[in-house]
Amino acid sequence: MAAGSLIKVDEFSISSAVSSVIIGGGSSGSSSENFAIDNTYDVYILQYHDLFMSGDGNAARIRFTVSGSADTSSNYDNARQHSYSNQGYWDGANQNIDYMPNLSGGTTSPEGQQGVMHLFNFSNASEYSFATVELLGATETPEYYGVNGGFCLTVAQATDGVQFYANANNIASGNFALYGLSK
Amino acid sequence: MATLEELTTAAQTAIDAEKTANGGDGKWAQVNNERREFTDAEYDQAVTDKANYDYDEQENGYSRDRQEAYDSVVDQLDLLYHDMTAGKGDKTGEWYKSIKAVKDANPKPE
Repeated sequence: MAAGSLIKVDEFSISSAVSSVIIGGGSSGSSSENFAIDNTYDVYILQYHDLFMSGDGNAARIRFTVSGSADTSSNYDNARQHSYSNQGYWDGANQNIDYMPNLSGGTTSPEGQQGVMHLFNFSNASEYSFATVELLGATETPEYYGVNGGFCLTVAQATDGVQFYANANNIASGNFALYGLSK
Repeated sequence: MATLEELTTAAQTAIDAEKTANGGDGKWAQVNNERREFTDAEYDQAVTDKANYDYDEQENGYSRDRQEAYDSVVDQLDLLYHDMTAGKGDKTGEWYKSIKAVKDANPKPE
């Protein structure tokens, strides 16, 4: 394969509302691909779009998975900048929480959310797992927002997927695709 | 205000009521192309997540609501400029009133 190619390794679309999905994660993943992030690629790219919640103001929070199970330890750090169409921007950051935050979404168009995450060091058991995130969406007002930032699971361990889980109610719909960036 | 322990107890009750075995709609995970109800361990985690979420909302929700309700810094500076031009650099000014309105609408819990 050509160097620099994007190789799709997992893909999943929610057809019935669920509280959690896992992209990657091997046989615990939501699709039938059974793909676990490993050292086949140095960098993985997770893309999602049209993510809607079943309740206004609910959010799809994020955790990384270890052997297919979400790491729920309080070892997640993050820093983000949020830009809004109606009020400029503000910064957000957390240390040692048990999830990575996501902005609240809505239930109907245009309140969906779309984003791209670059995943680094996931397969390296000697390093922390990092992710950059860029996303955009709209609140139910609607006010459009964009977020860019970084997530880190500060545990030197191998991680093999990404879980999205609803902080309340369900994730109504969403489309996810995971790509490996060919070496 | 409720303690985390009290909110955990309330979360346990709420999550228990969601289980299909108790007549609820259930919480569902998508695993290996199959939609299945949460396992006991996942329900336990849902209780912890809900309790932590409710506690965070109780303690910090007002602050986030204020943050989202304030005008942009640029607009606030413009208000301040016009207040000072009008000799209203005190509580009669529009900037003060706009900030107070947001704080009053999103009170810090006692």
